Amino acid sequence: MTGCNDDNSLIEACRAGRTEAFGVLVGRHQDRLYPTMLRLTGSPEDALDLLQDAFLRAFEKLDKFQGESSFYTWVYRIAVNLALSGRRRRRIVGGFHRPGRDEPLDPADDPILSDPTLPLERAERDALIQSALDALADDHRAVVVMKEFDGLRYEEIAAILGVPVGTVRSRLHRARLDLRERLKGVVEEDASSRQPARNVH
Amino acid sequence: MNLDDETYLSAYLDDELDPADRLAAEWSVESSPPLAEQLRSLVQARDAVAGLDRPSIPRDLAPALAARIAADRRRARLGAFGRPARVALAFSGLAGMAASLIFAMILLNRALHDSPVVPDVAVQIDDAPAHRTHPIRPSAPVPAPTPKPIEIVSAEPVAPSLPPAPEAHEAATTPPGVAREQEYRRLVSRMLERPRVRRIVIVTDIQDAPDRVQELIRDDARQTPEFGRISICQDIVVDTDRTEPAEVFAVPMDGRVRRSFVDRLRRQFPDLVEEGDSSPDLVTRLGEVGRVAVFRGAEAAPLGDPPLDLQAFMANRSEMKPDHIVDSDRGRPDAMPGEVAAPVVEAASPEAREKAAVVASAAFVGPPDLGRMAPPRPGESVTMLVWVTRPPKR
Repeated sequence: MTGCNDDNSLIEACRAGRTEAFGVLVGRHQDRLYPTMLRLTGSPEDALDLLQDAFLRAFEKLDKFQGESSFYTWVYRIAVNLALSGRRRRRIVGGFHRPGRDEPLDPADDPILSDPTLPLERAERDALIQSALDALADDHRAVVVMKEFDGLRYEEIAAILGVPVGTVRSRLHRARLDLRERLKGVVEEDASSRQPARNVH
Repeated sequence: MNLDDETYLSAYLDDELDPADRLAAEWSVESSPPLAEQLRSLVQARDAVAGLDRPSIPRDLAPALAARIAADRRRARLGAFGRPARVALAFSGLAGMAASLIFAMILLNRALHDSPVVPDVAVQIDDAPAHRTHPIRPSAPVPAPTPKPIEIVSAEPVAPSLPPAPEAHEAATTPPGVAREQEYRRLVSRMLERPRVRRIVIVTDIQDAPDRVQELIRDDARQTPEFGRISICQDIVVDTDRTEPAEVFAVPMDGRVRRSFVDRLRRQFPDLVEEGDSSPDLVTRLGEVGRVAVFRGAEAAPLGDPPLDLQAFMANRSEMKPDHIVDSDRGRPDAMPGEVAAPVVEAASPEAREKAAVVASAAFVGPPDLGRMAPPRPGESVTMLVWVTRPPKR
Protein backbone atom coordinates (compact mmCIF):
# COMPACT_ATOMS: atom_id res chain seq x y z
CA MET A 1 0.00 0.00 0.00
CA THR A 2 2.89 2.25 0.80
CA GLY A 3 4.14 1.58 -2.71
CA CYS A 4 0.84 2.78 -4.16
CA ASN A 5 0.90 5.88 -2.01
CA ASP A 6 4.45 6.58 -3.10
CA ASP A 7 3.43 6.03 -6.70
CA ASN A 8 0.64 8.53 -6.32
CA SER A 9 2.94 11.21 -5.00
CA LEU A 10 5.37 10.52 -7.86
CA ILE A 11 2.52 10.77 -10.34
CA GLU A 12 1.50 14.09 -8.82
CA ALA A 13 5.09 15.27 -9.13
CA CYS A 14 5.11 14.25 -12.82
CA ARG A 15 1.90 16.12 -13.41
CA ALA A 16 3.48 19.16 -11.79
CA GLY A 17 6.21 18.99 -14.42
CA ARG A 18 8.93 17.11 -12.56
CA THR A 19 9.70 14.49 -15.17
CA GLU A 20 12.50 13.00 -13.08
CA ALA A 21 9.75 11.57 -10.86
CA PHE A 22 8.65 9.47 -13.79
CA GLY A 23 12.15 7.99 -13.93
CA VAL A 24 11.65 6.81 -10.36
CA LEU A 25 8.33 5.21 -11.32
CA VAL A 26 9.98 3.46 -14.24
CA GLY A 27 12.82 2.22 -12.05
CA ARG A 28 10.33 0.91 -9.54
CA HIS A 29 8.20 -1.14 -11.93
CA GLN A 30 10.33 -2.08 -14.92
CA ASP A 31 11.87 -5.14 -13.26
CA ARG A 32 8.51 -6.59 -12.41
CA LEU A 33 7.03 -5.91 -15.82
CA TYR A 34 9.94 -7.08 -17.94
CA PRO A 35 9.58 -10.88 -17.48
CA THR A 36 5.93 -10.70 -18.52
CA MET A 37 6.79 -8.72 -21.63
CA LEU A 38 9.58 -11.16 -22.39
CA ARG A 39 7.15 -14.07 -22.28
CA LEU A 40 4.61 -12.20 -24.38
CA THR A 41 7.03 -11.18 -27.10
CA GLY A 42 9.54 -14.04 -26.94
CA SER A 43 12.48 -11.70 -27.46
CA PRO A 44 14.44 -9.57 -24.97
CA GLU A 45 14.79 -6.69 -27.43
CA ASP A 46 11.11 -6.71 -28.30
CA ALA A 47 10.27 -6.84 -24.61
CA LEU A 48 12.45 -3.79 -23.89
CA ASP A 49 10.97 -1.85 -26.79
CA LEU A 50 7.48 -2.78 -25.78
CA LEU A 51 8.06 -1.77 -22.19
CA GLN A 52 9.62 1.51 -23.22
CA ASP A 53 6.65 2.25 -25.44
CA ALA A 54 4.24 1.35 -22.68
CA PHE A 55 5.96 3.69 -20.21
CA LEU A 56 6.05 6.44 -22.78
CA ARG A 57 2.35 5.97 -23.50
CA ALA A 58 1.70 6.04 -19.76
CA PHE A 59 3.65 9.28 -19.43
CA GLU A 60 1.69 10.88 -22.24
CA LYS A 61 -1.62 9.80 -20.74
CA LEU A 62 -0.72 10.50 -17.14
CA ASP A 63 -3.37 13.20 -16.92
CA LYS A 64 -6.00 10.58 -17.69
CA PHE A 65 -4.83 8.20 -14.96
CA GLN A 66 -7.63 8.28 -12.42
CA GLY A 67 -5.97 6.18 -9.75
CA GLU A 68 -8.74 3.59 -9.83
CA SER A 69 -6.11 0.89 -10.20
CA SER A 70 -2.47 0.95 -9.17
CA PHE A 71 0.05 2.55 -11.49
CA TYR A 72 1.62 -0.88 -12.02
CA THR A 73 -1.69 -2.40 -13.13
CA TRP A 74 -2.31 0.53 -15.42
CA VAL A 75 1.05 0.21 -17.17
CA TYR A 76 0.70 -3.57 -17.25
CA ARG A 77 -2.60 -3.18 -19.07
CA ILE A 78 -1.12 -0.70 -21.53
CA ALA A 79 1.85 -2.97 -22.21
CA VAL A 80 -0.23 -6.12 -22.74
CA ASN A 81 -2.52 -4.37 -25.16
CA LEU A 82 0.41 -2.83 -27.00
CA ALA A 83 1.94 -6.29 -27.28
CA LEU A 84 -1.25 -7.71 -28.69
CA SER A 85 -1.83 -4.93 -31.19
CA GLY A 86 1.81 -4.95 -32.29
CA ARG A 87 1.92 -8.65 -32.93
CA ARG A 88 -1.40 -8.59 -34.71
CA ARG A 89 -0.10 -5.98 -37.12
CA ARG A 90 3.04 -7.99 -37.78
CA ARG A 91 1.01 -11.05 -38.59
CA ILE A 92 -1.04 -9.10 -41.14
CA VAL A 93 2.09 -7.91 -42.88
CA GLY A 94 3.35 -11.46 -43.03
CA GLY A 95 6.87 -10.62 -42.07
CA PHE A 96 6.66 -12.13 -38.64
CA HIS A 97 7.40 -15.79 -38.45
CA ARG A 98 6.24 -18.09 -35.73
CA PRO A 99 6.54 -21.84 -35.88
CA GLY A 100 3.32 -23.49 -36.90
CA ARG A 101 1.76 -26.46 -35.21
CA ASP A 102 3.48 -28.89 -37.58
CA GLU A 103 6.84 -27.21 -37.47
CA PRO A 104 9.50 -28.56 -35.17
CA LEU A 105 10.53 -26.28 -32.34
CA ASP A 106 14.17 -25.40 -32.46
CA PRO A 107 15.52 -24.14 -29.16
CA ALA A 108 18.69 -22.99 -30.87
CA ASP A 109 16.67 -20.27 -32.59
CA ASP A 110 15.45 -18.81 -29.35
CA PRO A 111 17.25 -15.71 -28.14
CA ILE A 112 16.42 -16.52 -24.56
CA LEU A 113 18.76 -19.47 -24.82
CA SER A 114 21.61 -17.07 -25.08
CA ASP A 115 21.08 -15.94 -21.47
CA PRO A 116 24.44 -16.95 -19.95
CA THR A 117 23.21 -16.79 -16.39
CA LEU A 118 20.96 -19.82 -16.78
CA PRO A 119 22.25 -23.40 -16.52
CA LEU A 120 22.19 -24.93 -20.00
CA GLU A 121 19.60 -27.58 -19.21
CA ARG A 122 17.25 -25.06 -17.66
CA ALA A 123 17.80 -22.64 -20.51
CA GLU A 124 16.96 -25.33 -23.08
CA ARG A 125 13.82 -26.23 -21.23
CA ASP A 126 12.74 -22.60 -20.97
CA ALA A 127 13.45 -22.11 -24.65
CA LEU A 128 11.22 -25.03 -25.56
CA ILE A 129 8.41 -23.72 -23.40
CA GLN A 130 8.84 -20.22 -24.82
CA SER A 131 8.71 -21.62 -28.35
CA ALA A 132 5.50 -23.38 -27.47
CA LEU A 133 4.13 -20.12 -26.09
CA ASP A 134 5.19 -18.25 -29.23
CA ALA A 135 3.33 -20.76 -31.34
CA LEU A 136 0.03 -20.05 -29.58
CA ALA A 137 -2.46 -17.61 -31.00
CA ASP A 138 -1.74 -14.11 -29.65
CA ASP A 139 -4.91 -13.94 -27.59
CA HIS A 140 -4.27 -17.37 -26.10
CA ARG A 141 -0.68 -16.60 -25.26
CA ALA A 142 -1.66 -13.39 -23.48
CA VAL A 143 -4.18 -15.23 -21.32
CA VAL A 144 -1.72 -17.99 -20.48
CA VAL A 145 1.05 -15.56 -19.53
CA MET A 146 -1.26 -13.46 -17.41
CA LYS A 147 -2.69 -16.49 -15.66
CA GLU A 148 0.19 -18.93 -15.30
CA PHE A 149 3.10 -16.55 -15.21
CA ASP A 150 1.58 -13.62 -13.32
CA GLY A 151 -1.15 -15.43 -11.43
CA LEU A 152 -3.96 -13.00 -12.29
CA ARG A 153 -7.58 -13.93 -11.66
CA TYR A 154 -9.95 -14.47 -14.56
CA GLU A 155 -11.76 -11.26 -13.73
CA GLU A 156 -8.55 -9.23 -13.82
CA ILE A 157 -7.54 -10.75 -17.15
CA ALA A 158 -10.99 -10.06 -18.56
CA ALA A 159 -10.73 -6.42 -17.47
CA ILE A 160 -7.31 -5.99 -19.03
CA LEU A 161 -8.31 -7.53 -22.34
CA GLY A 162 -11.81 -6.11 -22.35
CA VAL A 163 -13.48 -9.50 -22.87
CA PRO A 164 -16.01 -11.48 -20.81
CA VAL A 165 -14.76 -13.83 -18.09
CA GLY A 166 -16.16 -16.79 -20.02
CA THR A 167 -13.94 -15.89 -22.96
CA VAL A 168 -10.91 -15.86 -20.70
CA ARG A 169 -11.83 -19.29 -19.37
CA SER A 170 -12.29 -20.86 -22.78
CA ARG A 171 -9.17 -19.26 -24.24
CA LEU A 172 -7.13 -20.44 -21.31
CA HIS A 173 -8.43 -23.96 -21.54
CA ARG A 174 -7.76 -24.22 -25.27
CA ALA A 175 -4.33 -22.71 -24.83
CA ARG A 176 -3.49 -25.25 -22.13
CA LEU A 177 -4.60 -28.12 -24.35
CA ASP A 178 -2.46 -26.73 -27.14
CA LEU A 179 0.52 -26.28 -24.84
CA ARG A 180 0.08 -29.77 -23.47
CA GLU A 181 0.43 -31.20 -26.97
CA ARG A 182 3.45 -29.06 -27.78
CA LEU A 183 5.19 -29.74 -24.50
CA LYS A 184 4.64 -33.46 -24.29
CA GLY A 185 8.36 -34.21 -24.24
CA VAL A 186 9.11 -31.59 -21.62
CA VAL A 187 6.35 -32.52 -19.21
CA GLU A 188 7.03 -36.25 -19.48
CA GLU A 189 10.64 -35.58 -18.60
CA ASP A 190 9.51 -33.47 -15.70
CA ALA A 191 7.07 -36.09 -14.51
CA SER A 192 9.75 -38.75 -14.48
CA SER A 193 12.20 -36.59 -12.56
CA ARG A 194 9.99 -34.83 -10.03
CA GLN A 195 6.52 -34.35 -8.66
CA PRO A 196 4.38 -31.52 -10.07
CA ALA A 197 5.36 -28.21 -8.53
CA ARG A 198 1.83 -27.35 -7.51
CA ASN A 199 -1.05 -29.48 -6.41
CA VAL A 200 -4.33 -29.57 -8.15
CA HIS A 201 -6.67 -27.33 -6.33
CA MET B 1 -22.22 -25.57 -14.56
CA ASN B 2 -22.35 -27.52 -17.74
CA LEU B 3 -20.29 -30.66 -17.26
CA ASP B 4 -20.13 -31.19 -21.01
CA ASP B 5 -18.14 -28.00 -21.20
CA GLU B 6 -14.54 -29.04 -20.70
CA THR B 7 -13.43 -25.53 -19.85
CA TYR B 8 -14.74 -26.00 -16.33
CA LEU B 9 -11.70 -28.23 -15.76
CA SER B 10 -9.41 -25.24 -16.17
CA ALA B 11 -11.67 -23.13 -13.99
CA TYR B 12 -11.56 -25.89 -11.36
CA LEU B 13 -7.78 -26.00 -11.62
CA ASP B 14 -7.60 -22.24 -11.10
CA ASP B 15 -10.08 -22.17 -8.21
CA GLU B 16 -12.42 -20.01 -10.28
CA LEU B 17 -15.60 -22.00 -9.61
CA ASP B 18 -18.21 -21.21 -6.99
CA PRO B 19 -18.47 -23.77 -4.16
CA ALA B 20 -21.34 -25.75 -5.66
CA ASP B 21 -19.66 -26.07 -9.04
CA ARG B 22 -16.38 -26.98 -7.42
CA LEU B 23 -18.02 -29.86 -5.57
CA ALA B 24 -19.59 -31.07 -8.80
CA ALA B 25 -16.27 -30.83 -10.58
CA GLU B 26 -14.48 -32.74 -7.83
CA TRP B 27 -17.07 -35.49 -8.03
CA SER B 28 -16.79 -35.84 -11.80
CA VAL B 29 -12.97 -35.89 -11.74
CA GLU B 30 -12.90 -38.54 -9.03
CA SER B 31 -15.40 -40.69 -10.85
CA SER B 32 -13.77 -40.45 -14.27
CA PRO B 33 -10.15 -41.64 -14.75
CA PRO B 34 -9.85 -40.04 -18.25
CA LEU B 35 -11.00 -36.73 -16.81
CA ALA B 36 -8.53 -37.10 -13.94
CA GLU B 37 -5.78 -37.78 -16.46
CA GLN B 38 -6.76 -34.74 -18.48
CA LEU B 39 -6.65 -32.61 -15.36
CA ARG B 40 -3.17 -33.91 -14.53
CA SER B 41 -1.89 -33.00 -17.98
CA LEU B 42 -3.38 -29.52 -17.68
CA VAL B 43 -1.56 -29.09 -14.39
CA GLN B 44 1.69 -30.06 -16.07
CA ALA B 45 1.17 -27.51 -18.84
CA ARG B 46 0.31 -24.88 -16.25
CA ASP B 47 3.38 -25.64 -14.15
CA ALA B 48 5.67 -25.61 -17.17
CA VAL B 49 4.76 -21.99 -17.93
CA ALA B 50 4.64 -20.94 -14.28
CA GLY B 51 8.16 -22.29 -13.79
CA LEU B 52 9.71 -20.19 -16.56
CA ASP B 53 12.68 -18.10 -15.54
CA ARG B 54 12.07 -14.46 -14.57
CA PRO B 55 15.18 -12.64 -15.70
CA SER B 56 16.01 -9.15 -14.51
CA ILE B 57 15.68 -6.36 -16.98
CA PRO B 58 19.00 -6.13 -18.85
CA ARG B 59 19.16 -2.34 -18.86
CA ASP B 60 17.52 0.56 -17.11
CA LEU B 61 14.85 2.10 -19.31
CA ALA B 62 14.73 5.42 -17.49
CA PRO B 63 17.59 7.20 -19.35
CA ALA B 64 16.27 6.23 -22.80
CA LEU B 65 12.78 7.24 -21.79
CA ALA B 66 13.98 10.57 -20.44
CA ALA B 67 15.70 11.23 -23.78
CA ARG B 68 12.58 10.35 -25.74
CA ILE B 69 10.38 12.51 -23.52
CA ALA B 70 12.81 15.41 -23.88
CA ALA B 71 12.86 14.98 -27.67
CA ASP B 72 9.06 14.87 -27.79
CA ARG B 73 8.84 18.03 -25.73
CA ARG B 74 11.38 19.78 -27.91
CA ARG B 75 9.36 18.81 -30.91
CA ALA B 76 6.14 19.92 -29.27
CA ARG B 77 7.71 23.31 -28.52
CA LEU B 78 8.73 23.63 -32.17
CA GLY B 79 5.24 22.56 -33.19
CA ALA B 80 3.71 25.21 -30.92
CA PHE B 81 5.65 27.77 -32.90
CA GLY B 82 3.40 26.72 -35.74
CA ARG B 83 3.27 27.43 -39.42
CA PRO B 84 1.15 30.62 -39.24
CA ALA B 85 3.53 32.14 -36.70
CA ARG B 86 6.57 31.12 -38.73
CA VAL B 87 5.05 32.49 -41.90
CA ALA B 88 4.14 35.75 -40.20
CA LEU B 89 7.69 36.09 -38.94
CA ALA B 90 9.12 35.30 -42.34
CA PHE B 91 6.86 37.86 -43.94
CA SER B 92 7.75 40.61 -41.53
CA GLY B 93 11.46 39.94 -41.98
CA LEU B 94 11.22 39.70 -45.73
CA ALA B 95 9.05 42.78 -46.02
CA GLY B 96 11.67 44.67 -44.05
CA MET B 97 14.40 43.43 -46.34
CA ALA B 98 12.41 44.41 -49.41
CA ALA B 99 11.74 47.89 -48.07
CA SER B 100 15.44 48.32 -47.28
CA LEU B 101 16.31 47.22 -50.80
CA ILE B 102 14.01 49.81 -52.38
CA PHE B 103 15.35 52.52 -50.13
CA ALA B 104 18.95 51.59 -50.97
CA MET B 105 18.21 51.59 -54.69
CA ILE B 106 16.56 55.00 -54.51
CA LEU B 107 19.57 56.42 -52.71
CA LEU B 108 21.96 54.81 -55.18
CA ASN B 109 20.03 56.10 -58.15
CA ARG B 110 19.90 59.59 -56.65
CA ALA B 111 23.61 59.54 -56.02
CA LEU B 112 24.38 58.43 -59.59
CA HIS B 113 22.05 60.74 -61.46
CA ASP B 114 21.57 63.51 -58.96
CA SER B 115 17.97 63.84 -60.04
CA PRO B 116 14.57 62.88 -58.64
CA VAL B 117 13.92 59.25 -59.42
CA VAL B 118 10.81 57.16 -59.76
CA PRO B 119 11.96 53.59 -59.34
CA ASP B 120 11.15 51.32 -62.25
CA VAL B 121 10.73 48.35 -59.99
CA ALA B 122 7.53 46.96 -58.70
CA VAL B 123 7.97 45.18 -55.44
CA GLN B 124 5.07 43.81 -53.55
CA ILE B 125 6.05 43.84 -49.95
CA ASP B 126 2.75 42.88 -48.42
CA ASP B 127 2.35 39.32 -49.51
CA ALA B 128 5.37 38.21 -51.46
CA PRO B 129 8.71 36.98 -50.23
CA ALA B 130 11.49 39.37 -51.09
CA HIS B 131 13.94 36.69 -52.11
CA ARG B 132 11.80 35.83 -55.09
CA THR B 133 10.90 39.36 -56.01
CA HIS B 134 12.74 40.66 -59.02
CA PRO B 135 12.66 43.92 -60.89
CA ILE B 136 10.11 44.00 -63.67
CA ARG B 137 10.37 46.65 -66.30
CA PRO B 138 7.06 47.54 -67.95
CA SER B 139 8.52 47.01 -71.37
CA ALA B 140 10.21 43.71 -70.58
CA PRO B 141 9.00 40.83 -72.76
CA VAL B 142 7.11 38.08 -71.03
CA PRO B 143 8.59 34.64 -71.66
CA ALA B 144 6.54 32.35 -73.86
CA PRO B 145 4.15 30.21 -71.87
CA THR B 146 5.17 26.58 -71.74
CA PRO B 147 3.41 24.19 -69.45
CA LYS B 148 5.86 22.26 -67.38
CA PRO B 149 6.31 18.76 -68.79
CA ILE B 150 6.65 15.75 -66.58
CA GLU B 151 10.31 15.19 -66.36
CA ILE B 152 12.35 12.73 -64.43
CA VAL B 153 15.13 14.50 -62.71
CA SER B 154 18.21 12.68 -61.59
CA ALA B 155 17.66 11.15 -58.20
CA GLU B 156 20.48 13.09 -56.64
CA PRO B 157 19.52 14.86 -53.45
CA VAL B 158 18.19 18.28 -54.31
CA ALA B 159 18.79 21.51 -52.53
CA PRO B 160 15.60 22.35 -50.72
CA SER B 161 13.64 24.99 -52.53
CA LEU B 162 11.72 26.15 -49.51
CA PRO B 163 11.70 29.81 -48.62
CA PRO B 164 13.93 30.56 -45.68
CA ALA B 165 12.49 29.62 -42.34
CA PRO B 166 13.01 31.82 -39.30
CA GLU B 167 15.83 29.54 -38.21
CA ALA B 168 17.68 30.15 -41.48
CA HIS B 169 20.26 32.38 -39.83
CA GLU B 170 21.64 29.27 -38.11
CA ALA B 171 22.88 28.08 -41.47
CA ALA B 172 25.33 30.95 -41.64
CA THR B 173 27.17 29.67 -38.59
CA THR B 174 27.07 25.95 -39.37
CA PRO B 175 29.18 24.00 -41.88
CA PRO B 176 27.52 23.64 -45.31
CA GLY B 177 27.01 19.88 -44.99
CA VAL B 178 25.39 20.23 -41.60
CA ALA B 179 23.24 23.15 -42.77
CA ARG B 180 22.04 21.14 -45.75
CA GLU B 181 21.29 18.17 -43.58
CA GLN B 182 19.34 20.44 -41.23
CA GLU B 183 17.46 21.85 -44.18
CA TYR B 184 16.60 18.35 -45.43
CA ARG B 185 15.42 17.42 -41.99
CA ARG B 186 13.27 20.54 -41.79
CA LEU B 187 11.82 19.76 -45.19
CA VAL B 188 11.01 16.18 -44.27
CA SER B 189 9.49 17.38 -41.01
CA ARG B 190 7.20 19.65 -43.00
CA MET B 191 6.13 16.74 -45.15
CA LEU B 192 5.33 14.85 -41.98
CA GLU B 193 3.36 17.78 -40.58
CA ARG B 194 0.60 17.26 -43.13
CA PRO B 195 -2.79 16.61 -41.59
CA ARG B 196 -2.85 12.98 -42.59
CA VAL B 197 0.08 10.65 -42.73
CA ARG B 198 -0.59 7.17 -43.99
CA ARG B 199 1.83 4.32 -43.87
CA ILE B 200 2.68 1.59 -46.32
CA VAL B 201 4.86 -1.19 -45.01
CA ILE B 202 6.71 -3.40 -47.45
CA VAL B 203 8.35 -6.37 -45.83
CA THR B 204 10.79 -7.98 -48.20
CA ASP B 205 14.14 -9.68 -48.44
CA ILE B 206 14.75 -8.30 -51.91
CA GLN B 207 18.11 -6.54 -51.78
CA ASP B 208 17.33 -3.58 -54.00
CA ALA B 209 13.76 -3.10 -52.81
CA PRO B 210 14.38 0.40 -51.38
CA ASP B 211 15.93 1.54 -54.66
CA ARG B 212 13.04 0.10 -56.64
CA VAL B 213 10.63 1.94 -54.40
CA GLN B 214 12.63 5.13 -54.83
CA GLU B 215 12.46 4.74 -58.61
CA LEU B 216 8.74 4.27 -58.44
CA ILE B 217 8.31 7.36 -56.29
CA ARG B 218 10.65 9.39 -58.48
CA ASP B 219 8.77 8.48 -61.66
CA ASP B 220 5.34 9.07 -60.16
CA ALA B 221 4.09 12.44 -61.40
CA ARG B 222 2.98 14.61 -58.52
CA GLN B 223 2.24 18.25 -57.94
CA THR B 224 4.63 18.12 -55.03
CA PRO B 225 7.51 16.31 -56.67
CA GLU B 226 10.00 16.40 -53.80
CA PHE B 227 10.17 13.44 -51.49
CA GLY B 228 12.24 12.54 -48.47
CA ARG B 229 14.23 9.43 -47.75
CA ILE B 230 15.07 8.48 -44.19
CA SER B 231 17.51 5.65 -43.52
CA ILE B 232 16.91 4.22 -40.11
CA CYS B 233 20.03 2.64 -38.68
CA GLN B 234 20.11 -0.67 -36.94
CA ASP B 235 20.40 0.72 -33.43
CA ILE B 236 17.55 3.20 -33.73
CA VAL B 237 14.05 2.04 -32.98
CA VAL B 238 11.36 4.40 -34.20
CA ASP B 239 8.61 1.91 -34.64
CA THR B 240 8.14 -0.92 -32.21
CA ASP B 241 6.37 -2.88 -34.94
CA ARG B 242 9.48 -2.66 -37.10
CA THR B 243 12.68 -2.82 -35.14
CA GLU B 244 14.76 -3.85 -38.13
CA PRO B 245 16.73 -1.34 -40.20
CA ALA B 246 14.45 0.32 -42.70
CA GLU B 247 14.29 2.85 -45.47
CA VAL B 248 11.37 5.19 -45.15
CA PHE B 249 10.16 7.50 -47.88
CA ALA B 250 7.99 10.50 -47.10
CA VAL B 251 5.96 11.42 -50.17
CA PRO B 252 3.36 14.20 -50.17
CA MET B 253 0.51 13.51 -52.59
CA ASP B 254 -3.21 13.88 -53.03
CA GLY B 255 -5.79 11.15 -52.57
CA ARG B 256 -6.13 10.09 -56.20
CA VAL B 257 -2.43 9.89 -56.82
CA ARG B 258 -2.09 7.93 -53.61
CA ARG B 259 -4.47 5.23 -54.77
CA SER B 260 -2.74 4.69 -58.09
CA PHE B 261 0.64 4.79 -56.39
CA VAL B 262 -0.37 2.11 -53.90
CA ASP B 263 -1.64 -0.02 -56.80
CA ARG B 264 1.73 0.25 -58.50
CA LEU B 265 3.50 -0.68 -55.28
CA ARG B 266 1.31 -3.73 -54.89
CA ARG B 267 2.11 -4.81 -58.42
CA GLN B 268 5.84 -4.43 -57.75
CA PHE B 269 5.70 -6.21 -54.39
CA PRO B 270 2.79 -8.66 -54.48
CA ASP B 271 1.57 -9.79 -51.04
CA LEU B 272 4.25 -7.77 -49.28
CA VAL B 273 2.42 -4.49 -48.89
CA GLU B 274 0.23 -3.31 -46.04
CA GLU B 275 -1.35 0.12 -45.78
CA GLY B 276 -2.70 1.85 -42.71
CA ASP B 277 -2.77 5.05 -40.73
CA SER B 278 0.37 6.14 -39.00
CA SER B 279 0.54 6.97 -35.34
CA PRO B 280 1.44 10.56 -34.45
CA ASP B 281 4.23 9.18 -32.24
CA LEU B 282 5.88 7.51 -35.17
CA VAL B 283 5.61 10.58 -37.33
CA THR B 284 7.12 12.73 -34.61
CA ARG B 285 10.08 10.42 -34.15
CA LEU B 286 10.74 9.94 -37.84
CA GLY B 287 11.52 13.60 -38.33
CA GLU B 288 14.42 13.31 -35.94
CA VAL B 289 16.18 10.06 -36.73
CA GLY B 290 18.43 8.43 -39.24
CA ARG B 291 20.08 9.92 -42.29
CA VAL B 292 17.80 12.18 -44.27
CA ALA B 293 17.93 13.24 -47.89
CA VAL B 294 15.46 14.98 -50.14
CA PHE B 295 15.04 14.10 -53.81
CA ARG B 296 13.10 15.62 -56.64
CA GLY B 297 10.68 13.43 -58.52
CA ALA B 298 8.61 13.97 -61.63
CA GLU B 299 6.51 17.10 -61.52
CA ALA B 300 3.00 17.18 -62.91
CA ALA B 301 1.10 20.25 -63.92
CA PRO B 302 -2.25 20.40 -62.18
CA LEU B 303 -5.55 20.43 -63.99
CA GLY B 304 -8.54 22.09 -62.56
CA ASP B 305 -10.29 25.36 -62.03
CA PRO B 306 -7.99 28.29 -61.64
CA PRO B 307 -7.88 29.73 -58.16
CA LEU B 308 -10.52 32.30 -57.35
CA ASP B 309 -8.19 35.26 -57.48
CA LEU B 310 -7.07 34.24 -60.95
CA GLN B 311 -10.68 33.81 -62.06
CA ALA B 312 -11.42 37.28 -60.78
CA PHE B 313 -8.39 38.62 -62.55
CA MET B 314 -9.38 37.05 -65.84
CA ALA B 315 -13.00 38.18 -65.56
CA ASN B 316 -12.05 41.74 -64.80
CA ARG B 317 -8.88 42.06 -66.78
CA SER B 318 -10.37 44.67 -69.09
CA GLU B 319 -11.31 46.81 -66.12
CA MET B 320 -7.99 46.42 -64.36
CA LYS B 321 -5.59 49.22 -64.13
CA PRO B 322 -2.74 48.91 -66.57
CA ASP B 323 0.66 47.61 -65.62
CA HIS B 324 -0.25 44.34 -63.96
CA ILE B 325 1.37 41.03 -64.59
CA VAL B 326 0.95 37.55 -63.26
CA ASP B 327 4.09 36.06 -61.92
CA SER B 328 3.22 32.39 -61.84
CA ASP B 329 6.66 31.63 -60.46
CA ARG B 330 5.57 32.91 -57.10
CA GLY B 331 3.74 30.91 -54.58
CA ARG B 332 2.77 31.06 -50.99
CA PRO B 333 5.89 31.26 -48.93
CA ASP B 334 4.67 28.39 -46.84
CA ALA B 335 3.88 26.13 -49.78
CA MET B 336 5.70 22.85 -50.11
CA PRO B 337 8.23 22.92 -52.92
CA GLY B 338 6.56 22.02 -56.15
CA GLU B 339 3.10 22.94 -54.91
CA VAL B 340 1.46 25.20 -57.42
CA ALA B 341 0.07 28.16 -55.61
CA ALA B 342 -2.02 31.15 -56.51
CA PRO B 343 -0.20 33.52 -58.82
CA VAL B 344 0.51 37.01 -57.63
CA VAL B 345 -0.73 39.98 -59.61
CA GLU B 346 1.84 42.66 -60.17
CA ALA B 347 2.35 45.79 -62.15
CA ALA B 348 3.00 45.47 -65.89
CA SER B 349 1.88 46.86 -69.21
CA PRO B 350 -1.54 45.98 -70.74
CA GLU B 351 0.27 43.88 -73.31
CA ALA B 352 2.13 41.99 -70.63
CA ARG B 353 -1.14 41.48 -68.80
CA GLU B 354 -2.68 39.73 -71.82
CA LYS B 355 0.30 37.45 -72.16
CA ALA B 356 0.33 36.81 -68.48
CA ALA B 357 -3.26 35.62 -68.63
CA VAL B 358 -2.17 33.02 -71.15
CA VAL B 359 0.73 32.01 -68.90
CA ALA B 360 -1.58 31.65 -65.98
CA SER B 361 -4.15 29.61 -67.94
CA ALA B 362 -1.48 27.31 -69.28
CA ALA B 363 -0.11 26.74 -65.84
CA PHE B 364 -3.47 25.42 -64.71
CA VAL B 365 -4.40 23.30 -67.72
CA GLY B 366 -1.45 21.09 -68.56
CA PRO B 367 -1.31 18.38 -71.17
CA PRO B 368 -4.42 16.22 -71.67
CA ASP B 369 -2.84 13.02 -70.39
CA LEU B 370 -2.63 14.61 -66.99
CA GLY B 371 -6.39 14.63 -66.70
CA ARG B 372 -6.21 12.57 -63.55
CA MET B 373 -4.31 15.29 -61.75
CA ALA B 374 -6.13 17.93 -59.76
CA PRO B 375 -5.04 20.47 -57.22
CA PRO B 376 -4.86 18.74 -53.85
CA ARG B 377 -7.85 19.35 -51.68
CA PRO B 378 -7.09 19.87 -48.01
CA GLY B 379 -8.92 16.73 -46.94
CA GLU B 380 -7.11 14.58 -49.46
CA SER B 381 -3.64 15.86 -48.93
CA VAL B 382 -1.57 13.11 -47.35
CA THR B 383 1.98 12.14 -46.85
CA MET B 384 2.75 8.51 -47.58
CA LEU B 385 5.34 6.83 -45.47
CA VAL B 386 6.68 3.97 -47.53
CA TRP B 387 8.46 1.77 -45.08
CA VAL B 388 10.71 -0.82 -46.72
CA THR B 389 12.02 -3.31 -44.23
CA ARG B 390 13.21 -6.86 -43.92
CA PRO B 391 11.50 -9.64 -42.00
CA PRO B 392 12.87 -9.93 -38.48
CA LYS B 393 15.54 -12.55 -38.01
CA ARG B 394 14.45 -15.44 -35.86
